[in-house]
Amino acid sequence: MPASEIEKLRSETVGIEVESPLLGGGTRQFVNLDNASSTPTFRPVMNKVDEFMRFYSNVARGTGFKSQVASWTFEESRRAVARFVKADPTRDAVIFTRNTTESMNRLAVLFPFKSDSVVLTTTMEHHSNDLPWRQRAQVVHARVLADGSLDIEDFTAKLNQYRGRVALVAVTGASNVTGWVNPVHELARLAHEAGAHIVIDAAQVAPHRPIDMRKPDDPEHLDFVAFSGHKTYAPYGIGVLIGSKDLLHPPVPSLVGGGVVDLVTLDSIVWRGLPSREEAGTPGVVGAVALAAAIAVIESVGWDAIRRHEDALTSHTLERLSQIPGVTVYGSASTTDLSRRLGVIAFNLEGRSDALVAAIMAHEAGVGARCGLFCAHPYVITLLDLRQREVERIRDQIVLGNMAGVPGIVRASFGMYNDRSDADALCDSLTAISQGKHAAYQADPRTGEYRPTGHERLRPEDYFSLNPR
Amino acid sequence: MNPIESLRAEVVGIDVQVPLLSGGTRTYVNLDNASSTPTFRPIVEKVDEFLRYYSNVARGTGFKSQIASWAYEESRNIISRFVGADPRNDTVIITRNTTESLNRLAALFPFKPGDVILTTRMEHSSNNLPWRRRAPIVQAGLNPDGSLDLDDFAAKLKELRGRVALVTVTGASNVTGWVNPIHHLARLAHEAGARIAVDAAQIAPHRPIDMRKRGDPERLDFVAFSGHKTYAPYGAGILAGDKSMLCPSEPALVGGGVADLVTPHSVVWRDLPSREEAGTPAVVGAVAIAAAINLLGTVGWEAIMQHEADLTRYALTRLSRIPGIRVHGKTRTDDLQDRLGTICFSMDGKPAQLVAAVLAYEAGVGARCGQFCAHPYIFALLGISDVEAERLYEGASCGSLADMPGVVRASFGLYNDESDVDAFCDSLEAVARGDHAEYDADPRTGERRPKGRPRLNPADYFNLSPRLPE
Repeated sequence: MPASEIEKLRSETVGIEVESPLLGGGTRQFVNLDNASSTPTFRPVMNKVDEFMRFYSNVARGTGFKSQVASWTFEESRRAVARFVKADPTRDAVIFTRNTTESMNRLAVLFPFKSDSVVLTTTMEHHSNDLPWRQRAQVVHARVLADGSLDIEDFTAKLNQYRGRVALVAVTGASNVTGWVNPVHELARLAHEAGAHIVIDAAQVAPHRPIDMRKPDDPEHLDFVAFSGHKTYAPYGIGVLIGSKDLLHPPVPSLVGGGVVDLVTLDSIVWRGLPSREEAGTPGVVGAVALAAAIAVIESVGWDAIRRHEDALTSHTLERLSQIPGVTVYGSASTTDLSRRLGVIAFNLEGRSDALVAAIMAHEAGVGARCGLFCAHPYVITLLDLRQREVERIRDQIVLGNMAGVPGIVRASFGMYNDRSDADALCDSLTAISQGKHAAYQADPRTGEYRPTGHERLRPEDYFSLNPR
Repeated sequence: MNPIESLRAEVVGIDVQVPLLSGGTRTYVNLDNASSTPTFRPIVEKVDEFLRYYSNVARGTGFKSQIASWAYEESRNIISRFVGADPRNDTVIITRNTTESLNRLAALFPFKPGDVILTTRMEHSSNNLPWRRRAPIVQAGLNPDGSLDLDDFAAKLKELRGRVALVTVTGASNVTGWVNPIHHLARLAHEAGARIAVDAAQIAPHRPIDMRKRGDPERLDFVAFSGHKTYAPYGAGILAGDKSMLCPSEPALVGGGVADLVTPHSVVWRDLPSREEAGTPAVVGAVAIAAAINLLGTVGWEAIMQHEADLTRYALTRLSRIPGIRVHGKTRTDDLQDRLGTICFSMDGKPAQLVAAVLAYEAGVGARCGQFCAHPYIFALLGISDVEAERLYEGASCGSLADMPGVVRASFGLYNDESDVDAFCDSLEAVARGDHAEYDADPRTGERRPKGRPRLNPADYFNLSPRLPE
């Protein structure tokens, strides 16, 4: 598909035509700028899943025709994922999970930590690349610079400070808040020099940049990579953990049950080899097929076209945001940093809370953005420069179940199907808000969510029902 | 046409033609529903319609996020009603499959040192292995026909009185189809001060489940089942049960969506069910299960049970006339209340793998053979001694599975009909006469393949390349 043809993919986005009701009456085409959270899928991916459903059957040891086709397809999907991240076919296993969070929890359970092991991570991580490690080892966070990017000097210093004890370095490929892309191969080299392994949380970066795990003898290789289908245009409940088999193989699998054993007697068990031993029960076959089909779409569009398109969108948006009074962009606001950032843009508007801005954009412009702390609380707290005392006050309030007034950020994030009209819808709405042109809203004292004053709540059942025809 | 007959045409892939060894093709006969079911066109269409609104479900302010969040919670409500959960006291956690649900329950349940888990010898590995890591397990024995020995169950419960924290039993066997009297077992368990978990993976698509209110002596404390055996093979499973016992100090999996606040050294965890659904949940899978439940609701349990009992009776009757066939489990056809349409059998002089291969290659019938992740049960059904089991264990440790004894299983879904039973039994009659091709056994796995024939090339039938816009 030639670069300019990325536009054709827009009309293939499932639900691109959906109209969103507006507060003033009427509707407008929904503008999806929440791709960092979850992406829609494309019609060719959905059609492929529907076609596969004709052959769907359980994948293990079935002798029937459909079981053979389904088993082959599942393993073909695994190979497509391995190629997508350039895994080493002899070194690495590709384990299908539900999502990146499960992949990270899985790695935390399987990785051979010692009692004094340290995990070096960063302050810019999603909780999924922070909390799982806290259960298994001492976690040390490398700091970020004032612009929110990783402080490589602090990273190196901490690696030295804990030298010999750092078993694993866990960093994100790109921030889910500011879009900063980390130099993962440089970090890999530093990690390996210090005798550590490295895992990349690739949930954010996977749909936007090629991933190359590289050969095992390359000092810059990546030992483990995790990502999700639902951020990669395949929202069918699938994730992956890819990495070194030798380090994913403790005596007993993490989950046990059907499909992980060759033989069970009343008091002994013969476990299977990887990847089966880490896919207990019936695996996410349909999700794996969807992911492989989405990878095929991404590859046919091509990374050059995707990057050029998303860079242009990001650049256009940053330029327009810079002209709106009161907008603060977190991370880089410069259009010269596009080589090391994604089209994930975090910002606030002076004098209005993130939750209010997001509510106005949703109700008055049909723009789906997101607000809050993005499951990256330590990072957002740093970006907002909140003092310790303020954090403690917020904590006490949250413990009591009150989410109102918790500070946060607004985030707009692009997928490859977005275009300039989407960026303009966002910026036009922000411009109006900055001029005070919007309806009145009230905050829910418990959730902190803003809703337009005096308007009925949206009735989802007017748009969708769970009754099949 | 009654609703069941008209649903057959709505099965996705019901029309798929499969190549036969004799040349030519025939319509695939799916008798592997106890393993995984296909889905129905109305469910695929509902999923595809939902994908137009798909968006992440937590805290999104946009229109689609509101629709998707509502659809996800509504799916949870539908699932809760499907199992008769107590809305005040029970939670419904969306997992990947029953195996994950039972592992999750094993991780969360508040076992104390000294606790014992009482299970049975007829369980799937998923309702056995997860418990072995948390507490000593004791397995109630079987009657000669493969059904649960209720006397032994009661005796073991009595013998271990005060120490049994949890009773965990399957709703129905995935091998013989025996249905357990779960409410009776629940009463015994509660009287002994234990809780009860039911592995409902097999029974969910065939019989109504009713957990009942807290306080009812026959209440089921926990129920687990899977979408992929319930006509919704989209990668979601369910754990439903008592909130108060699923809430230890930390969730089982941690990450996004389980915490209200995280600082570098402290965490405020969310409540159930969010705290047990780390990361982006299986929203599409949950919607598919809810749609499948609604579809089952339009057919009605009575029609489903009647239809499947008729099929089972017909199959058992035909099987009884084929020389050399030995059905394991219940063979009587006068009362089919306590069995599902899951039929397992052996054939004199014909290894299970050979029979399954002939069915597949010469009749287009998808059955299954082996041990069905229920090795101790199969050994009991086949009368294999512990000494023999030990020898098999040695073999399996060395990677040789060729000598593993197994059985053949055919299992019905609500869309199967008599023509499926006939295709299956006609083929077995041919096998009984020795009227079949020659097969080679794989020396490691024992799997049979037709002698001198090229392997089936799945790529001739399906590929993963999506069709892109011109």
